[in-house]
Amino acid sequence: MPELDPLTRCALLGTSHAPVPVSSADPIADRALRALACETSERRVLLAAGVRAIGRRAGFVHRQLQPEHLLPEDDPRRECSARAAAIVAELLDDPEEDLSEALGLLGRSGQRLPHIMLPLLLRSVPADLRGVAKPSLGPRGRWLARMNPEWAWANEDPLTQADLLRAWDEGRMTDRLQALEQTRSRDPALARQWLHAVWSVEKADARAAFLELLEAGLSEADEPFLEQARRDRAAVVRATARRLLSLLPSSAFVQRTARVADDMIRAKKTPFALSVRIPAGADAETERDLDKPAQGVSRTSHWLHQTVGLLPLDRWQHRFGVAPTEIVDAAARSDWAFELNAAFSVAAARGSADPAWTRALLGFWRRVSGVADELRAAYLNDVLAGMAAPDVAALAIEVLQGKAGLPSLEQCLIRLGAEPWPAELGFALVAQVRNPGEGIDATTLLESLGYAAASLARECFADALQPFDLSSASTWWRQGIQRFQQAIERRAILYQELCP
Amino acid sequence: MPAPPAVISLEQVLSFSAGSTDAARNLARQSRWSGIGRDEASAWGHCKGGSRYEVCVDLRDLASRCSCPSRKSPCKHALALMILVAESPPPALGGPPPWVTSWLAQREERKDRKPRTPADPDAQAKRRTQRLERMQAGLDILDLWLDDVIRHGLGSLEAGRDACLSQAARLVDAQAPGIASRVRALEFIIGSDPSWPQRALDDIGRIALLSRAFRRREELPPAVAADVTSLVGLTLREDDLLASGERLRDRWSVVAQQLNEEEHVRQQRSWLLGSSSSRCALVLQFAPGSAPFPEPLVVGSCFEGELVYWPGAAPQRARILQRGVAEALSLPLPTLSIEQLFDRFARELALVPFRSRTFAILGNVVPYIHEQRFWLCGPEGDAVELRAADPWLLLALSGGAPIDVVGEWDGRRMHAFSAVAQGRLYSFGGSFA
Repeated sequence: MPELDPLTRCALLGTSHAPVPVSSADPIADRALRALACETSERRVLLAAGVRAIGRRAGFVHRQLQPEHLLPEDDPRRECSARAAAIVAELLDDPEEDLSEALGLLGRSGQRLPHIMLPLLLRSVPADLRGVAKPSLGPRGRWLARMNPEWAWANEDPLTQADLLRAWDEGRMTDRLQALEQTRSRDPALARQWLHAVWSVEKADARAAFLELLEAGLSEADEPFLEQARRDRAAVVRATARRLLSLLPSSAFVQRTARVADDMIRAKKTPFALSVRIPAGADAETERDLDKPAQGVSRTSHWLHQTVGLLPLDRWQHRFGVAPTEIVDAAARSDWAFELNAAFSVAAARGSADPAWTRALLGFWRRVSGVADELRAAYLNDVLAGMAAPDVAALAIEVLQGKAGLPSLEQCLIRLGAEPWPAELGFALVAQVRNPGEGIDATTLLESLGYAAASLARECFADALQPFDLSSASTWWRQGIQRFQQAIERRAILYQELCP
Repeated sequence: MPAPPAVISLEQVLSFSAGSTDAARNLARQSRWSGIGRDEASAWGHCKGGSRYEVCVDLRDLASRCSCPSRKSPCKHALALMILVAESPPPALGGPPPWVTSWLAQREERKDRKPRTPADPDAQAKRRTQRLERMQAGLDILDLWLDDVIRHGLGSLEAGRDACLSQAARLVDAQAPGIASRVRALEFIIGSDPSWPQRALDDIGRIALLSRAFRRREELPPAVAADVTSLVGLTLREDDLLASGERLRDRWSVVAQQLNEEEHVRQQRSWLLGSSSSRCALVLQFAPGSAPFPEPLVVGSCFEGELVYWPGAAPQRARILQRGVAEALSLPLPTLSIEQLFDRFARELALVPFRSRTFAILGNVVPYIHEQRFWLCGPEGDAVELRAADPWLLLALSGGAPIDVVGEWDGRRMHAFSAVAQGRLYSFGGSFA
């Protein structure tokens, strides 16, 4: 307890225990005490304290401070409009998918948020969007953040190589993954050396997770290390190593795998036909390459996935001298129709194959019967992954207009992701919602509007904002359309205000 | 129909209240609205969201009505309607619908309502005497308790904080609510930090002085006696206010506002500043539940009008007698330096020693963090402590440069409610401590 003045000390102890002080070290209180001489002790203390309190308030003395005038640099950007600011504020209060887009637009717009919004931005931006948010902070946001330790992220410089090494050596798993990823992007060989140095002491799951990160910046220089990983104790590490090796066309692994695949798949010229022959035995290296099938996976299926699935598709039309359609059809007629085309589909997911392949595989998965829906959907996802966005959009339009049933509209839209869709798809979806035709049900349409709210291309905004005829619509349909239009209007305003 | 008078500007609406305008600006999109319209006096429309709300605004004084459950006034829907009207005047679709006209008519009716016929003056005087006697009886008990506290020592309070609350409840029963709230506030000081005995003694001493002044009010000058009576808790009846209060006509700017909700009653404190008189006025309004406040007062607006002050040695609280059309206030506002604020408060205390807070606009101060506390720093390094619902907003607005801060000085700290920066008035709202 701080040193008490005599009057407060007397009041704290009580006049029954302590005498009223003769002098209180405060001239105003002393005068009051003298003037109140004929009152009771309690009254003297109370009233003198009151007089002293009022005197203190009247004679309050300010603190003398020397602010270090470290001013923020001027921000030459003009303030964004009140409407754009309001939308960003709303998204910060309740982060939705649009927040990332809004912060991105704002950062690129050459405009800044109103200063008064900076505390909200610093407090509310989710950790994964801090990078996108940084340009919006500007010099004043960084200046403000320097005063609050909780906002340190705003001024964090990119980590130095020494910081990364410390994180790699001492950090938790997430820090280590981040450190390795960043190092790999700066100096691929160094990242590989780091991993090599600790390889023998890491747990299997960690080895697999670290190894995955070598995919970025992968080159032939990584082959020896990947070869070592291919012989790892843990199956999950071996599988990752094989996948990475398969991305190096000149690797010994790809050469061996191609030989095994060619040996397994035989072609007959006229009429063109394919047959699959699983070798009874294989040499040790091939056994190692093929590894063991997971439980419940047939040996043939496993071997095809581990060979055909890891090789580029385009090699097959060169080898057989026929078009992809014919290869897929011949596979479909073979004894291993499902397994072979499944392996082709897995290979298609690697991308970059001739579009004729994905068209042909799509046809196969639409036609084939006796396949569980989930399996068919999974291989269709592989095929979609290998298609270019405009082709997926064209496919989605067909499905939307009832011209095709598979893949599902949702699969196509998920494959297209958060990037703005090709405009034709947006126009087609809005048109279909305005005049729902046969062949696609209302629930699917309404769900698609949920994806469209985030991914509709800017060219489609005006069309989407035209009024819908909702006179005879059910409540859920009307509410769905309203939610969609509100989201689109919010994005339309952002684009209009931030990049006119 | 003649062109509608431009009584409302976007800047004006946007400066109203930082809290609601964000939501309102988002609601201010045509797709959210239907049946929107305006004429010279009013604007109206239906705002769609989770529900559909009937919203209308009286454009003459910006009073608003909305069927939403919000207790804010204007609510975000009404603000959104004002933004729409200010940005792009919606087409006038014939006259206002019946629900708007009936509301406007109700407002007119309330304005025209004749004052009640004065009650029998003798009976009134008798009732006042009885009330003062009850208050005195309450203060007699308070004095005995205070004597007890000092006799046994302030330390005894730490063990039984409830004592403050039960004493306050007794004073409320004795119809002395003003002094009751001072006694209730002691609860928060006791044991709060190492220096609490000193602060508690300060407040207890001032309560004892106020009680003593009430007992001897007949001997005091009439203005001081009026202050003391109202601080203890007896405010002037409306008739007496109109008869004896000082009237002042000026151009009044609404520069700060706070809202407090307590057990179904909302209390609004608005600070008005007269542009020619430089006088300030505190307008207190109460409303039950979600009912609107009788007098719509929007921060950032101003009006020509006449106020009447409750009598006192340095009058502060006032009522609006008559007002003109609402417009945007003009900046800059007259400000004080920290030294000038101290001088003025000292002079006010000389007149009204029991005043706990005074209104002020501190000019050219830099918000600053020092020893993990927020300060407002004058040009000479003179600094006072800053309190605000979110002090970071003031720092963000200033960017290290001087701004003007609008709020209340409590003798130790400045409680900020609004600020003027870059030629704009920002209101932080917030409830008051």
